Amino acid sequence: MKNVVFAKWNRIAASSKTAGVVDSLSLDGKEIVVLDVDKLSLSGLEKYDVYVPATVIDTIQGNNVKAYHELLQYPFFQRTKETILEEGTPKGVFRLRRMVDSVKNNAVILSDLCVLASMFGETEKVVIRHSRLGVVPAHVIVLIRYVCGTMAQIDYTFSDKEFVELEWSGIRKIIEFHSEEVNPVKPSLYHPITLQYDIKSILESSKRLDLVWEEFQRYRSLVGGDES
Amino acid sequence: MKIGIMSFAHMHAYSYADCLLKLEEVELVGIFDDDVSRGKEAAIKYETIHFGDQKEFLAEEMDAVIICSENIRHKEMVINAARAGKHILCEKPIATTIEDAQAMIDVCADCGVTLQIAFPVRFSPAIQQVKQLIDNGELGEIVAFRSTNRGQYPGGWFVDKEQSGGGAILDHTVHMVDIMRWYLGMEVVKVDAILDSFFQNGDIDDAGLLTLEFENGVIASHDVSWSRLPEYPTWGDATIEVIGTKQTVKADGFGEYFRLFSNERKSLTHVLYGSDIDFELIKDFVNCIKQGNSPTITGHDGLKALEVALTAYENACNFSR
Repeated sequence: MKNVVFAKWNRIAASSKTAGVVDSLSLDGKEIVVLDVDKLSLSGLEKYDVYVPATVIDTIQGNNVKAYHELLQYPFFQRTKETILEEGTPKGVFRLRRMVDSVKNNAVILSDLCVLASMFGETEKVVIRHSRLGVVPAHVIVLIRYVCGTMAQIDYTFSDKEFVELEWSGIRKIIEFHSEEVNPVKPSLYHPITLQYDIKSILESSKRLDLVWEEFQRYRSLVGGDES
Repeated sequence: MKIGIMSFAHMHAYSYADCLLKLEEVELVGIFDDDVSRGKEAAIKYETIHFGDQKEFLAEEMDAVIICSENIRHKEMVINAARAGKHILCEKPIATTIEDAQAMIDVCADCGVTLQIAFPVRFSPAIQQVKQLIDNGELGEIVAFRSTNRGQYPGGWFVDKEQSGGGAILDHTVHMVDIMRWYLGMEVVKVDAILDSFFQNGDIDDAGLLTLEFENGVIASHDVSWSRLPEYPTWGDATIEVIGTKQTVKADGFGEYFRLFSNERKSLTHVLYGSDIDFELIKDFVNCIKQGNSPTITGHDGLKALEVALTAYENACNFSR
């Protein structure tokens, strides 16, 4: 059974070169084929295991499809998560800043909320504020208190560029990350290496579409807001 | 110009005294502090006179006072100084309640003296440059703000509610709310907040996240805490990101530094250089008094910033002041 992964091409790390990156379904004997998510179509893929970003699950269905959360794929995020959880039950202030290269898409927020739930558990309070309707760029602020005691705030700007800034103020540890500041190639002429991920990570962390859908449902009414 | 300082309870008094000594036209004529040993020590350091009695101090001939007491005593000292005809620079937060703040503003107006609030972040070159960009229309319409004001655990009276009136939220919300109001010329109409006490096991708030909405729909997030470890490279921060329809910019009020690595326990230090925002604040206050101008940062500015911090306490479901 071959694996077909839909992803943004510039996000795939060079270390994933074993994957055959093609723009059409001419499987050339390789086990993994990566297709551009901007040309997402499941037509003719029924016999393959298909992986899609969770941000597109409202537009597709299929028993052979699994979804992955993009934030969870970033190596910096995986390492950060490990470091925070090393403290045991996390208690502190978690802050995430995302400049998202996309029109406003609430699924990005839902996907991130699912990822944070995997770190901090159940939410106790969630407050979401959207910038004025029709003003570009759209900005969204999510304020969360988790049952474990951690508080979090995520800022999204839907724009024409991509960066991620992460801060953790824990009891004995402070973590700071900014994808542009630590990008080892400067200036960032191409998509920064800090915001690339590996195909293997996608295959290992993806979940059945219906399970991700259920996760989304927990936050969908909270996120609200207009996507225009 | 003759200026006195009322109380050295707040550590900023030392910085302000240093600034006064740098100004040729200013004389530091005396220090009132009813903590006698602290006041005497400061008077020796700054080669001036210590007064243990507030009335006696205010009877002295001087143009203005700088008040750096515990928060809870701002009202008493501002009102006494105003009635003695002294212009006033009061450390932030202006007070611990809106009623006190309003009473202070009213008395100063009645007595015809200036009341300025010490928000030195307004004098950071980075913060001022962003203000210029906004005023020039280079960011377009403002969509949102994202700010931080985090520092080390101050201890002492700061963590005693009876004297401070509140913890990190009161201490560190007012600076950046003042900057947002200054940038936007609008008031905050909604405040959501989560507060907690994480870092010192105390009963006073030392961490908080605020989401604000202004009257024109601009939204803002603010991260406030006493979370910086002693080993952290710097005392703390005061940053703001402004998301505009034309571009997004970020300013760091303490961003002028170089990194110093050493083999000490604290191996990395951010060594600040460049402009001294406390000095710019004091210079501005002195100039306002000298020229008879309205203060750059008014009592009303102090009150509106305080209002947001107090609303955060009211609206935080999990924590009370």
